[in-house]
Amino acid sequence: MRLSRSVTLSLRTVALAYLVLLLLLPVGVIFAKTFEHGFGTAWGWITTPAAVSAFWLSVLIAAIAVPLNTIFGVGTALVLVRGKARGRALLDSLIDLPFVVSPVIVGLALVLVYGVDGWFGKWFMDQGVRIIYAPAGMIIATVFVSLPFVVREVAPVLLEVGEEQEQAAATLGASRWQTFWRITLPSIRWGIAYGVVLTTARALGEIGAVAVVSSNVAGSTLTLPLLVQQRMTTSFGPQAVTSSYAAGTELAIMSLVVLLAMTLIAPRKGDAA
Amino acid sequence: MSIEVESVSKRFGEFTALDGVSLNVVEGGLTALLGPSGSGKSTLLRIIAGLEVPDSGAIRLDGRDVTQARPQDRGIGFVFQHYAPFEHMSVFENVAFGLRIRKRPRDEVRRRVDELLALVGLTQWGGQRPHQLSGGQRQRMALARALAVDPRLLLLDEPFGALDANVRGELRRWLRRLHDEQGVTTVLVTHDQEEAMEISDTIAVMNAGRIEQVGSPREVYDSPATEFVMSFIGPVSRVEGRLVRPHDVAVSLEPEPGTVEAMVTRVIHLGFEVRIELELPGGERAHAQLTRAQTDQLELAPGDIVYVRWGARGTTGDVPQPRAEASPPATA
Repeated sequence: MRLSRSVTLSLRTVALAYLVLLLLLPVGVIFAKTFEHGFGTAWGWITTPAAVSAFWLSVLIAAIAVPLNTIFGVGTALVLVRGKARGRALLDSLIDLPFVVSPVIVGLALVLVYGVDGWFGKWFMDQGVRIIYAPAGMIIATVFVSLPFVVREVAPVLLEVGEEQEQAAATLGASRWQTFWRITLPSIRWGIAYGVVLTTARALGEIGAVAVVSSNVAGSTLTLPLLVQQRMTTSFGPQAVTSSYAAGTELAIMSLVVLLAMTLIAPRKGDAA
Repeated sequence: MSIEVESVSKRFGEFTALDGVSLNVVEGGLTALLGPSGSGKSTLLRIIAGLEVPDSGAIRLDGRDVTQARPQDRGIGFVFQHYAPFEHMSVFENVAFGLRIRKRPRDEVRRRVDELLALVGLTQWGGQRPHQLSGGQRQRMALARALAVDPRLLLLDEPFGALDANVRGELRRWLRRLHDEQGVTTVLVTHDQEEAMEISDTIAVMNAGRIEQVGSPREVYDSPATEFVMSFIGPVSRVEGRLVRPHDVAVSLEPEPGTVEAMVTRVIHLGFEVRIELELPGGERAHAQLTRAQTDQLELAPGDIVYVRWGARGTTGDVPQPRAEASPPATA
């Protein structure tokens, strides 16, 4: 389709304005507000004990949720694409559940199941394990909401790569396990990489489900997004703005670092994918 | 390695890919499974390789029942139609794969792979990725990869199907020489009768999930067991209820006993050969293949009335033969 020059120009303007208004401007404002009173002030706000604790809790949750969902995601994608078992269609639609259900509902459901009065909660309490209103519950909630990303990134790649290379490996004497490590995994590595980026971003940024199962105690059960929210809603004045924006900037930088890391190891054009 | 295929059947849903196929392949030969698409030839090859499991029947390699054995336990080499190169590995590593799986010492792998790359003319290309090779080169890489593990049986699925016509002819002759030098029992699948005739010792002609005839190229051409074999191997015309080969049609200008009248509708010069299209009084069409000298002598032109004799050759049966006879043990 060929568009006239004026149409192209106005379409570009609209797209650009859209991006600026919705993406660049708010993010820019956060950065600007963060450093309004100087770098030292901002640094001070992200090095308070509560902020440091929130940073490490966010890292811990991501460090557990991302590997779990990566392993589960690759396995599930293999079952969905290569498997012959019945019930794959059901599994396929179940995978998207975390996308469809509101995160708040996810949190509430976890409270019902693992809370003190929940189905399994009592048993866990008897063992001395606290899940709801503790980091364990926040990890479960994060795993749940970030579950589909790796599956959804890897499955299409598996489908596109096809089965022939794996069959060729088998005729050359490779066992299933050898074929997986030497053939399947290397050919889906970029799909996994993108899935990991998305999972990490979601794990770091999730607030809805995690808020429900967190006790929201600064220094123990606050993640960075929860800290931003708490600083925003419970304190007043310019301090509130700077302190929460500082935590927000920290969060944004963490996500950017993950994205940057991926871009650096991602394939250059012309390299075999 | 000898192969015995015994009453193998395979269905995919409602589609019957193989319907009680039996076939014997003797050690050392080059056998072509020839048939149109959907005839079951690729399925049969994949079942021999262990990439598919038959619904019923048995596969024996050197007398050992391998029907349920995994591909990696069969001692075979397989070349896929689209070569299935390992895209993330260099050409060298592709060829080395089977040896690495077998944990051969590093210097032995090096030596063997270099040897194979030289054999297939890819010495310069060892460090490249498969996608940097041409189709013919990828083909040869796939062959080297399959040969690296010293298979006793080499299986090739439409090995030249994805190549240009001239590359195809060249590779075909090259593969035949390779087979003569290495002596590995080879089975290849093709839908191209000319390819099967040129390259193989034995042809198994397949149609609709069955083997119609097994024989040398000359046998299946000169004594086709069924009408299908006759019409699939070489050109035919159907006249007066039977099949005739164009080069068996004799054309003369005078009526003789046993000839029928026909009108020339077209004269097509194909270099050395000339193709004469004919129409019979009843409206049936046929064609004759003559040499240029014959045509010049007859001075044929469209509209001429000629007298033709259909020649003696026909199918050995003209009716499909019993299946037991349609797939006798192959002799090489």
